[in-house]
Amino acid sequence: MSTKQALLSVENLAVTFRTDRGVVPAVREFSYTLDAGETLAIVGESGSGKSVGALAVMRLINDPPGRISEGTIRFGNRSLLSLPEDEMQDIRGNEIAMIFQEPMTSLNPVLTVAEQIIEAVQLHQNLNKREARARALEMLQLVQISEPARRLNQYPHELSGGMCQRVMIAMAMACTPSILIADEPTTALDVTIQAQILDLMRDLKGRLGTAILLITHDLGVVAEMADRVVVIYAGRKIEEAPVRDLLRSPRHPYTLGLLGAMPRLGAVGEGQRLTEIPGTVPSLLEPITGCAFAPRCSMAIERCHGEAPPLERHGDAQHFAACWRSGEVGGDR
Amino acid sequence: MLAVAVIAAIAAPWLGTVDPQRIAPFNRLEVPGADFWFGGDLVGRDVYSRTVYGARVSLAVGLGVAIGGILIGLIVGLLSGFVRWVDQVLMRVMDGLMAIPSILLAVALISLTGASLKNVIIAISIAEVPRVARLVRSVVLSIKEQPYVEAAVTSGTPFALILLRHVLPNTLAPLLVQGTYIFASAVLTEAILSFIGAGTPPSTPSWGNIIAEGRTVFSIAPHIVLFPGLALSFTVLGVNLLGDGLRDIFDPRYVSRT
Amino acid sequence: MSEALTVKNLAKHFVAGDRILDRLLGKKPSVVRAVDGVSFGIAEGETLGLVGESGCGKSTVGRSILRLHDPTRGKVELNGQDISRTSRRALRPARQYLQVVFQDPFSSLNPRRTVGQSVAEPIANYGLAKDAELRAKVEELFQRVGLRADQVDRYPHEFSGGQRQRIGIARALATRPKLIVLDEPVSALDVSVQAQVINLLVDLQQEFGIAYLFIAHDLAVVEHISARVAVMYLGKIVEIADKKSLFESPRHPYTKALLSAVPKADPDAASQRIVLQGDIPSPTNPPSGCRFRSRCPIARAICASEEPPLEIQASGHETACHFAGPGPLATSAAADQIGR
Repeated sequence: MSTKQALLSVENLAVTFRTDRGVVPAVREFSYTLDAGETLAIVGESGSGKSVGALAVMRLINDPPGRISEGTIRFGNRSLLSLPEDEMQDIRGNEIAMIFQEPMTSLNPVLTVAEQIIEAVQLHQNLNKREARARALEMLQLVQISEPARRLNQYPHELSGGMCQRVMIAMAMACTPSILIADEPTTALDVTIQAQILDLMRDLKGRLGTAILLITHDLGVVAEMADRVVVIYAGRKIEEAPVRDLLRSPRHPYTLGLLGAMPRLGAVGEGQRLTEIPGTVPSLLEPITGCAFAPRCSMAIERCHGEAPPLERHGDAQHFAACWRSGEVGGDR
Repeated sequence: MLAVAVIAAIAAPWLGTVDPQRIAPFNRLEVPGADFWFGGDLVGRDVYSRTVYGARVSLAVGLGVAIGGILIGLIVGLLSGFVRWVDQVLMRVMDGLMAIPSILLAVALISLTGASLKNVIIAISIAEVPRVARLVRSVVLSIKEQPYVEAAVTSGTPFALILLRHVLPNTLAPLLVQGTYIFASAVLTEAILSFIGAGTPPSTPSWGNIIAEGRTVFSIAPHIVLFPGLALSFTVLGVNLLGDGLRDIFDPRYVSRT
Repeated sequence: MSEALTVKNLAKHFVAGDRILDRLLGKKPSVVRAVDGVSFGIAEGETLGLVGESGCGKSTVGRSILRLHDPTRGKVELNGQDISRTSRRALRPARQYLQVVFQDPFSSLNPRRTVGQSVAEPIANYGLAKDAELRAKVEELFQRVGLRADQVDRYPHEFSGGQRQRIGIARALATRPKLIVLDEPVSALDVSVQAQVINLLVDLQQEFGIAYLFIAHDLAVVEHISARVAVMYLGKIVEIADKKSLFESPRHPYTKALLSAVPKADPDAASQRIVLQGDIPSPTNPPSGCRFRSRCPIARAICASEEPPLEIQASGHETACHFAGPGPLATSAAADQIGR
């Protein structure tokens, strides 16, 4: 671990949501760091809390019903959770930007592309209308959208999903943020379009040095984009490692199960079965004793049900796993 | 609020049916005092009993229109939802009906057929049908596309059963809620019609015509307008609240609380 | 081995915006050629995977076969019987052997009926069992798909997405069909649940000898479960072959691009991929000649004027391209990582 300070540091984050049926701890004891220029992927299935872990950084959790009940979030040397709202607004869209899953619905349908990018620009930079429009065009060119000048005057419904996502990226990058949070940015897109967008994101990162916090459930996307990975299950981080280590030698049964459950191109022998993870994700309404994954884990022992394993380091690599038997997990794929 | 609504809704029929025999003190001389509970009217009739009797009229109209409107609207809506070309024709007809303010429509129809309770109910129903038809049609259109209906089709379920099992149950809830609103609206419309003299004949007491009669002497005998007016307000309010309550109960989010 | 399903030149066109007023004004309604001449066969007990991106028409193919849409042209034969032109009434007996599993586990079950009732519906429709026997059959089906018999009287909202999908499969299985059309059956499920359902489908096929038309956009899933695969683009099949052939030596440029676009779970796999330019054209106005030419890295003049027919290139392997051929795409210095 380098001794220089991380760009973003989330420590011990806990977020709860109040529902009709009780209080749900969506995220607990969640910590991660993001260095300048690196890509960190947060991987989990639906309901795991991965989006919540990132929305909290932007303080976009609606209170009520959600609440950041614990933890600190450090951005540079500022503590984001204690900033007044107007200072937070200065940061949103400016130093930390976000793109979402459904590009078609994340854009305002009654504003043209130009108007939306200009809005983002003028909010944070002191440019007049003309300069802002020039910047908008510049951004569209940066995201390699086809016919950028024409797009400026178009409305979102005239654009395809891939183009909308490019516009979103253009808006997000307009103020050259140091962090881009991408919440499932390609899940709603076709495979060939997804390839284009991922390429674009990598290209932009290379050119502008933006750090990316990538939230996804797709391990393939993780393999392509991430430098480091955090795996989250039932609101808790259960594994963290550099991407190669995680994919080649996972140290948590859940990660191993996920890798085995994913069908992979070209990896099929005749009549091979996919690894199943039996059961389903536990309901977060009831308090969980012991390891949250234990009921579904093929390697669970007595201890797993009673005591929740802490996150422990493995070897000298930056590989952490929360499992009593992590040393025995898997081996190489 | 729901309790108030329910009580109001239930109380009205009670008042209506418990005292049907109060016809007796009908023709008396003018006595504008508290001898009669609500006072006496211009020709000495007991305002209380007239109000109570009027409730029966209002409720009959409300119920009649609600049921009639829903039945006809249901059929129209179903036809429109399932048969493409019928839809084009019927919806234009509905648009036409909706373009005419319902009061005017009712007045026009009544002038053609003559004023009687039955005609009033029919006239107001016709004015309410388009809204119901639209509602049913939109439910049908959205349900038709649902995968579970398609699955039923591929499973070989005959059309009639699909209607019965899949479409109708989903129309029930919104129709019930809509029914309460129609009820309230019909009561109000009937009152307005009677007020302007185009509704229930003046011999039969209805809140509308009681208020109409009392209008002229409002400054000296406000009770004649007041009591039926209050009754009207409460009934309409109560039924609307009942409708809101029903709508919340039928909300699928509540269903998941089992 | 006889074919469970034969599809010949199937086409389905949708007319958009056909209003009386427009017709009076002489405006021609636009036609969406969702499916435009598709042919394939599925042998008994075999799985054909149908892949493609949005707008390619794969779902429409499935729905046309099921007669949820009436085909505009072409023939569909189920076990030798033509089901594309028959009346609804005559279709009913055939439907017993043709079932469906939909994508969305939440809307594929009627929320107001118990799951048992939903699964029993097809059985009851064909009078295959009644009362106690019917119930026994439903319970048996539930157990076969990995649920418990005591869950038969519950309502859909009490189950998770994966369980609902199992119920949908139970319903499809109920009348012992010869062919099941599965329209994106696992796309809405989490990866861990997806694996359960895929394994279940494979088991059921082996046990009952049912043929599957497996429609999906996820190539890895399709590779896992199919014996043969067809790739669709803008309403036409561009390539069809047995699995090994298609994934190891694809011949059509679109198939190659598609395969290279799939993110691989190996960070060291050469990230040199064929990135197609532009967006998928609209099905109302497909490019002339070969529909893929507007995005094809190797398109030439002939591609715009002449539409390439689907031709046999190797045994059991058909492609529709003037320049089809195995091996990497002759574009930039990309070395494709397709198959191993």
